[in-house]
Amino acid sequence: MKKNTIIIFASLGLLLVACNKDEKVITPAAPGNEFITTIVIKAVNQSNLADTVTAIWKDLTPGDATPPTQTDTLKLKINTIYNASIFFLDETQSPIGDITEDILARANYHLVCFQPSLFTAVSSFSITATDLDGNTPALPIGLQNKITTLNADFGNINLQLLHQPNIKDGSCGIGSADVNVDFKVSIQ
Amino acid sequence: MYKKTSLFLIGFLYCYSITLSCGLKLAGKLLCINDNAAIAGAVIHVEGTNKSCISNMHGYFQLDSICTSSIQLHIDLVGYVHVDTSIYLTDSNTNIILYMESKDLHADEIHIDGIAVHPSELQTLSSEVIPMAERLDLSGKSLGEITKTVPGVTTLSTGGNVVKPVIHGLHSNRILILNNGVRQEGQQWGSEHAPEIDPFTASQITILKGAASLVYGADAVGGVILLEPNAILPDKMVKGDYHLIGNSNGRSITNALALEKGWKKIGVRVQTSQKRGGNLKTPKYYLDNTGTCEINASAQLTYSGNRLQLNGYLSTYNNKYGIFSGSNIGGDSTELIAAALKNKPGSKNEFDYTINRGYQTVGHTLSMIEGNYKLPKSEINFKLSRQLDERQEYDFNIPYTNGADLSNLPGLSFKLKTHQLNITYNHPSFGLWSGTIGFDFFTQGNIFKGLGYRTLIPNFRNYNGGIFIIEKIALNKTIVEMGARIDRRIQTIYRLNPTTLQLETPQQEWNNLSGAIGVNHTFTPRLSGNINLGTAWRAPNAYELFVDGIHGANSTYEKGDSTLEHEKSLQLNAGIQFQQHHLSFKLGAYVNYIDRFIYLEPSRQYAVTYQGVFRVFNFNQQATLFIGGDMELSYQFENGWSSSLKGNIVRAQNLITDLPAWQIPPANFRWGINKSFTNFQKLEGLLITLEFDYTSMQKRFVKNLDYINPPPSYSLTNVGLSYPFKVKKYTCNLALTVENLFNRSYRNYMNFFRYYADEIGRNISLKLNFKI
Repeated sequence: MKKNTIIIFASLGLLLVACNKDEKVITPAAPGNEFITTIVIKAVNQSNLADTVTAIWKDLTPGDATPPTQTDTLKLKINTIYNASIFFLDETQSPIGDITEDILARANYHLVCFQPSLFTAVSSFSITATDLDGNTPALPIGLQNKITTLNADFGNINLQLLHQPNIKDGSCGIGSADVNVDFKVSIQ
Repeated sequence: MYKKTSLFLIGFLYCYSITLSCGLKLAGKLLCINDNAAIAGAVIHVEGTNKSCISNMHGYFQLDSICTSSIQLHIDLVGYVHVDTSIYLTDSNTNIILYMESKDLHADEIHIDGIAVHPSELQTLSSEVIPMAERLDLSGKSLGEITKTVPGVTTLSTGGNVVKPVIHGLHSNRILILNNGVRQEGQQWGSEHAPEIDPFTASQITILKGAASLVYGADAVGGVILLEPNAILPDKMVKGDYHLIGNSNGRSITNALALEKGWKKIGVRVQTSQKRGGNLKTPKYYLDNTGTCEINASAQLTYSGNRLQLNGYLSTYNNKYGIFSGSNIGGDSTELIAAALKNKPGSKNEFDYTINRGYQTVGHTLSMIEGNYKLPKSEINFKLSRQLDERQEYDFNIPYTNGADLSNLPGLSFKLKTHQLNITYNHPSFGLWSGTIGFDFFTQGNIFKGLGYRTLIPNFRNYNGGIFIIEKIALNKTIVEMGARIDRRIQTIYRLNPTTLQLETPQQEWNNLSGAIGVNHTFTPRLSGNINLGTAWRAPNAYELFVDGIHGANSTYEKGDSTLEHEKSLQLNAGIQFQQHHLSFKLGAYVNYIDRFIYLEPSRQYAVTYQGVFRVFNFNQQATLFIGGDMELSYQFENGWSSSLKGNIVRAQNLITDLPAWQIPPANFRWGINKSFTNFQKLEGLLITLEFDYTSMQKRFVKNLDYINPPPSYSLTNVGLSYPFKVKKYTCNLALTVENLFNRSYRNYMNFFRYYADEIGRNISLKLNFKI
């Protein structure tokens, strides 16, 4: 009895000392996962389709404290109506990943919101979404928008890509922000 | 009356004395400290003489013909903790009341079972024991909630499901938790990572307050929490203990079963518990996605030979809990303030058991084997253990990917493997000296995986070794303890250079000498005091050294500092205990100077990321002084009424900036009134409790450092009722408790969710315990 018991305990003990050093293998970020590095606003003048302006916000080291790589000013004309498309890209990948498609595929719980920036908001400017998702009733997505400018102005507009699974109701105050950046806007 | 007298006399028949030339007499009554019941059959022995007697059925005993006025009594009884007390005989016929503690309430019993290091090694430090088997009102609660019933212990929480203990203002890596004598190694660096322990595995929880590095090694700066099971005693029957607990808030059900069988030399115990709960509710709204699901199990096998004792233990803890969806706020402090001021967070307000995205899963397994070998005058203990801690954190957002497999992977995943070896040798006593020499070794490897672009904490391997000696002199009324310890820790980091993508393996090393000296003195049988001067240390953890990323729970960007050095604490802890049969009080006070205390501080810089603008917080270290005290006062009135007052205060000041330290618990006081029915036929044993719990506002804070000011003070009312009864020969206990009786809305400074939501509202619990 005593012998058996000691054997049981000894084998338990041997189990404990077995170890391997997995920590020497570093797992890189999972392949296929996409980061949002780049947000593009492409605005086309409704009365002159050749008049296209693009502004890019880019951070090639997403999620760290280094300043963004590129922050363009969206340069618009006064008293003009633009059709604006928003694109989200992952430039850490090659070829560049297009996240806009993923957002569109899950449009029923995504919303792109434009709100006045907390840092000198641009005021002579309005933007409304023109595209709709598959919810009932249909709700805006915000990848396609109409921009209306008035007087000359300079300031910031805040763009948020909101993730609103099962709670999307068209409003901006709910859900979590996958993207939350400020674009500089100049109206001349 | 006649019957009582005869039993009293029978009691005396057992008492004998040989020396007849001395004239002092001691008579007394022996009571159980837990329920004031008389203890019969205990052997009372006067040290240094051959005088002994046995207490009778009513607990009475008498010792005659004592020669010296100052005597040392030893009291022994199976099932009770050995009592060693100094008595001063004031006149020729002294009457006293002595108390014994039921055996499952004290670590000494565990010692019998062969578990190596127990708190009697640090007798000069203030300690408190929570007898879990007796505290039905605490069953089913988390370790943090259980330990906060002790003065000097508060909690740090992240919502209602993550509650961590705070001892003397210190928490996380500064508190050491020993589960079955094994230091718990999980992801305790995270303020939102609760200890991965099922309190149902412990029949008693001991809290050592103050520097305990000497015996337990690095990290025991604030204190130590020891969780221990009972010994498995030989019994013809299989013993069982079943708990069924229902909570109204979160509509949770907890279920726990333990079965044990003890033979002459072998003991076996199996235990399991499960918990399932849904969304918690504040007085005004539900907290979306705060469900929890927990499944735990453990098994124990013991062998007790004449000299050799062995104990094998396996346990597994598995938990999945939702992260309150209203806490997932974009990176803007203004939004945070808006959320804090809003009455309702922007999340769904309904009850649901479903745990949606924004959840964490935690798995912790412990396997341990320990042995104790008794030599003629000394004993050797060894303990070997392995722990595997796995934590997966799933973000609110599904990653943007085309691969369905990837979208099911956790955003952050940590895997920590720890192997430990402890050897202690209790050397033979030399005169009044007794002591222990110990050797500890542990090594751990951490593996991080994540979907993100950056590594939150790098992979690492560390090796820790320590040797200690602790010596004790037991004088007549005084115990003097002193000891020293040497530790060495080597940590190798494995990471990829962000630009070259080559493997880098920087190594760090810490060496430290700790020491402590303490005195425990019994002034009178009713009054004793303890004082302990000790040092403790802690090496910075990998998070503090290397973190570089967004901390979602706090909406901050946290940056580690790889140049941080280890922090060192010098502390003085003192306590006084007084106990008369009606009145008892305990007072504790401490001064804790921590050199290079590591903390987070705002840099007044912003990190601009695609997810928003985040305030940058840096890890820094500066000398910080903690001063505090705790107290417990209780009084036993007539007719089963009793009352108690507990309180604790702590102040912490950064000595370099001369500003208050951040996130220090505010003062807390709890006043309880109890009524126990002892002479009512049907209501025998019924206990009714009423508690007022007051927490003040933390007024010591640095303005404009935090997003919002500390919340105002609050007071809560809790009521409880417990009733023991028998079903056939089985002991049952029914308890009903109501926490936050008046459903008050409040926020707690020590809860990270104070930014987003109120604390939970009224909770009615019904608890049933069934013992066979």
